[in-house]
Amino acid sequence: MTAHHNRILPISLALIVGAILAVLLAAGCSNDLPVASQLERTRVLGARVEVASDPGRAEVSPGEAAAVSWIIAGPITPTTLDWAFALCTTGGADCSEAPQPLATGSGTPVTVPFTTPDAATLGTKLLPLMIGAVCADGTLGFDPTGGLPTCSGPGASGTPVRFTVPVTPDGEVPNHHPVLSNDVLEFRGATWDPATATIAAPGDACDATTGLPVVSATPAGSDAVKQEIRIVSDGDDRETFTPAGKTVPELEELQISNFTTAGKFESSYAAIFATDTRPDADVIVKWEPPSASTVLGGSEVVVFHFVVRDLRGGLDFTSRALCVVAP
Amino acid sequence: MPGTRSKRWTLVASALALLTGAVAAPRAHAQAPEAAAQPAAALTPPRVAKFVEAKRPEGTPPEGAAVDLELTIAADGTLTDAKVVGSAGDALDAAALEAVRQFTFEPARKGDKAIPARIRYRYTFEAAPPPSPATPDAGGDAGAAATPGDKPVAPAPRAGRLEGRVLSRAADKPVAAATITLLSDAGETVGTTLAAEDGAFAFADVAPGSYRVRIEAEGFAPVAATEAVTSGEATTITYRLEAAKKKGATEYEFGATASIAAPPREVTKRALAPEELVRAAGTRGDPLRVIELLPGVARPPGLAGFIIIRGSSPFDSQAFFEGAPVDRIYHFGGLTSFVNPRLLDHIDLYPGNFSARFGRKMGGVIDVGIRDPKTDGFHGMADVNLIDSSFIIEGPVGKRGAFAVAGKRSYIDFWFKNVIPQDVVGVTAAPVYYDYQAIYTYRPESGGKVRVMALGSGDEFRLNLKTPPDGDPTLRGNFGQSTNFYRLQALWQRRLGAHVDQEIIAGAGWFAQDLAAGDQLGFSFSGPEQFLRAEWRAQLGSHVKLIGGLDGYAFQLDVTYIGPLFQSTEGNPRYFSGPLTGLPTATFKGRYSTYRPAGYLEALIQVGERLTLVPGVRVDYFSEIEEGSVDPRLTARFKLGGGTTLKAGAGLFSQPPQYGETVAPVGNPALGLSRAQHYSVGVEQSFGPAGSVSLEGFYKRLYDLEVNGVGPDGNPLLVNGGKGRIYGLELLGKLNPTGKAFGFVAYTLSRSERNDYGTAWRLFDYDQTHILTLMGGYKLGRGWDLGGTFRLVSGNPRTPITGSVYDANSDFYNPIYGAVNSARDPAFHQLAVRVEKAWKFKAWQLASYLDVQNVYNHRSQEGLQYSYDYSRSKPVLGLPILPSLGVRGEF
Repeated sequence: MTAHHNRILPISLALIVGAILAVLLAAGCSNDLPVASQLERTRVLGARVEVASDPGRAEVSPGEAAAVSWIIAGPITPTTLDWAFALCTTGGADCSEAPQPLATGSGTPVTVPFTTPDAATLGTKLLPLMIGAVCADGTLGFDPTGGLPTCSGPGASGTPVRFTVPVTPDGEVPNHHPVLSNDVLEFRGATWDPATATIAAPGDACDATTGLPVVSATPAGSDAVKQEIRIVSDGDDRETFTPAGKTVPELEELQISNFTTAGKFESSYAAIFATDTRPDADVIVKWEPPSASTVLGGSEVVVFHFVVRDLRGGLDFTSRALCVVAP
Repeated sequence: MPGTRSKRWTLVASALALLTGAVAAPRAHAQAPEAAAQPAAALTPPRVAKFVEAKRPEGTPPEGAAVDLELTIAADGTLTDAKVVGSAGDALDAAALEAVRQFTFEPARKGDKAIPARIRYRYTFEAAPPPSPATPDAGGDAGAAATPGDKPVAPAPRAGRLEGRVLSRAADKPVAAATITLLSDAGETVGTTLAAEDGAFAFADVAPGSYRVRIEAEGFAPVAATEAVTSGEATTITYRLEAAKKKGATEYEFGATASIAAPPREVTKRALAPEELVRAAGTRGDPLRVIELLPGVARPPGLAGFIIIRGSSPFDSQAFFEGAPVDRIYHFGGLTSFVNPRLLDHIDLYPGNFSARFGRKMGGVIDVGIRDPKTDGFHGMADVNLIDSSFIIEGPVGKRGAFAVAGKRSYIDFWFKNVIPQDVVGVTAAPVYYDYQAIYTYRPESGGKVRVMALGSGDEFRLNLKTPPDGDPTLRGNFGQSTNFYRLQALWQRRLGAHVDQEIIAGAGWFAQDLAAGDQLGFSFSGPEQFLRAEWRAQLGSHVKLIGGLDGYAFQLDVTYIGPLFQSTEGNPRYFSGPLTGLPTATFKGRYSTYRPAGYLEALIQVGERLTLVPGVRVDYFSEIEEGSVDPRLTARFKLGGGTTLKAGAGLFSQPPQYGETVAPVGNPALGLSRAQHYSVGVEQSFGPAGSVSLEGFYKRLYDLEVNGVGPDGNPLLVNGGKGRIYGLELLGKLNPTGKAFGFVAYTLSRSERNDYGTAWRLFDYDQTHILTLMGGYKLGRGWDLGGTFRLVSGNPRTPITGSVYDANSDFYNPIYGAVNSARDPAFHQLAVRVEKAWKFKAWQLASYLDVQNVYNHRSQEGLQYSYDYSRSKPVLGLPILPSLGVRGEF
């Protein structure tokens, strides 16, 4: 970590830059800690607002009834999946008052209805905050000291989660979700059919007849050959807006989170920047097939999830699958 | 000189007084009774009260021989140390030492006060003189007593006198305590004396004839001349001496602190000799890196490159370069310092209770000074190693001037791209640093010195993130920083009257820095800075010295800032727990200026023979907060005798907010000063020139520290609500580089704690309970030099992470922290070794060195690295074995 006695900027930012630079310098070094893109357990990948009266809207209005859909994915279907959520208001990172229980349930989909607090409650500084836990193969509970939900038990997979519900500022146009259903994804230059995501479950045996793209696993002792996945946006994905503190409108940025049940992405994230004004702006992410030694049974279905955020509360996701065969 | 050529083994003394605690060297007292009466002088060298004749060992050659000794005489007249510095053989050396150790002395005096002294002493074993020629019978018949063949004896000639003055050529000032030796044509010592304070010397009753005169003085090249003494007449000569290379300069390209040290004004001063500065293993020959090895200095994490002094934040301490504050002393990463090491004259560390001449900080002070360029000819040096190359060229300009030019540049940028994954990271500007210094010194005929210096330094490092890092999905775009500064600085020293010295340092420069963290966060500023330091030192009688000064600093910067609201990150791990872009941010664009005048007054009061008191006061004003401070300070030193000194100090230290922390909307305009009270007591034991041991206890109370509060808008806001306490012990044992070996053992036991808003006390982020350093070097001979440094340091505190919460808005896991700094990394330990081989040629010297850090490749833990969801972790390991190979040529 590099650091200077910087005159004006707090050492925090300098330290952050130094830490990032140090991390980048170590990028070439091995790191056996799991990364975000590796779906090694059942996890929450995101959440999005659902307004029944206005599908596609990513924000709620004060006092409005809506729901939050939680995107859950994992390498295998868990034996049990329990969840619980509560609602509070927040002016920052934590609840500004005791949360109110909302809903509990089991299985998917995980959709939590709620009513947005009214304008008088929210004022200009508070937002609704949904907190909860999604617990796979474990026991759901609440930490009495911290008020946070817990997931415990051998083999349990779960983490407390939170989602700050975006509220449309008074007098402004609400934000909408990106729409990935029309987007083109390509795998190695060929269109990647969305239907591949429903053909088989991750880990299932497969071959060329299953209708999935086929990729060879990485032979033992060989370097993996990175496969290119191209994500092409369209006009439905990005809206034009004027950021706070600025006067010139600009296109939304898209942050793309990549997930896979096997193999490894070169980076867990990709982005389409605001400066990329092409109506079909695209981004390429690279994925390495798993090692042949991990492909038990000679083949396995690998599932991919792509979660796209417009960094204003809007979110959509899409999935694909392919077949990895041992060489 | 009649009387010295006796049949007895005669004592011939020559003294080169080297006094500690004195302002000027004394005039030596010639031992021979025929020495000329000395004019009255303020300083009197020691003299032998009881002489003991040495017994010449059997079997030693009959001809004359001399043993040069260095004697240390305490203020009570006892001989505390005697060693041979010029041998005449083991037997004669031993005989001379045995005799000298039985001498008793009258101590040196400054006025009426006895003071310790170190003198060079020549014990001469003279050859038995030839039998005297037969003398005529005074009362007999002129022709009766004569025997056939007897030659008539001429009457003895009348004696003459040789006298004069010794002056320095450069300043035309007297060279007090210069040694003047009178030798016969055959090379036998006839007499020795010391120049008085006004440079005067005299040999009375000198037999007429031709003599060789040799003049030697510390810091000057010796002079030899042939003079004639005429019967019944006085021969008067004035000798002018040229400045010599500093001691050891054939091996080290810069000099040491002045041999005659001013009385200490601080409780603790860690001064480094040049040999220690460049020979410390693990520092790549960079003197400023040696600071990290001193007691009281904590080890910075990784490549942080900042200095932590006695448990204080790095931003509570200040480095001064030639009297002017500098923002940093290292290029980024702490790899190397920003000034050529060959130019350094001294590096002094004041870990606390520093003099009133320093202020605006409440931690410690590092005072770096450079030497004057050499005047004895043109010299140069070039150093090439794996990371950078540097050079220096210097020499005289006319009779009174001298210049030096130095520069350094790294070449990490030549190979950096090869180690970075190019498809993830684009290198906009690979890491590069450079620095340069240009110095001109002039000594006017009227005395004093003028020095003008231009210096500059630059660091740059920029990357372009093509994809966001796994650690923070919101980060992308440009990352990096650059820092550049340029200065023109002038120094003027002169004497005002007989008792007042004046020193004025003034300078101006330009400073620019920019930093980017993604496309949405960053800052830049640039603008001029100015500084002025004027100090007057007046000797008021023999017991009081008064020092007063002005110290001003100002800058006017144009700033553009988009980034987080200013918060304290110390003890605040939550600051880094979310996406960078998730932090509350603000923008600022405008001019930021500050004017910081200050004045100080200090007195050195000698109470009796043993006690020295140094009361002082410093007054500061800070325009950016419209607030001032008055900081009284007091140090005391008490000499117990036998080289033992007790010391104590107490003082108040004030520090303004960091630059920009008072600027709305990013900071809090209501922020005020933070303060500290320093207390320390200690004892020093000197073992003469060989070394010393010191033990010191310290306590610091900090209050009004900046901590994180909440503003009326609910956003973070810095407020003065924190407290701190720091206490510990420092032990330092030094073996000075006077012989083949040198080194030191440094151990610090300390605790540094903070308290935010009256909550429970917690450890400071960089608290290190134990810091042990063993550093040493040894000259093997034939140009070989070997050194090693071992460090054993407590690991840094760490805040444990007990879980995480997934934030669906950003796709980021926020850690859940345990008690702040309630865990600690394992201890750090490391060995560094340095080997150097030098080849000396007729006109130049070549050296090759290998400096290996972490010889046994132990990679200490420098924290923990976590998985994306903080469910798993693994240690972050420090640097592996790191060799640095270099070649240096100099002439």
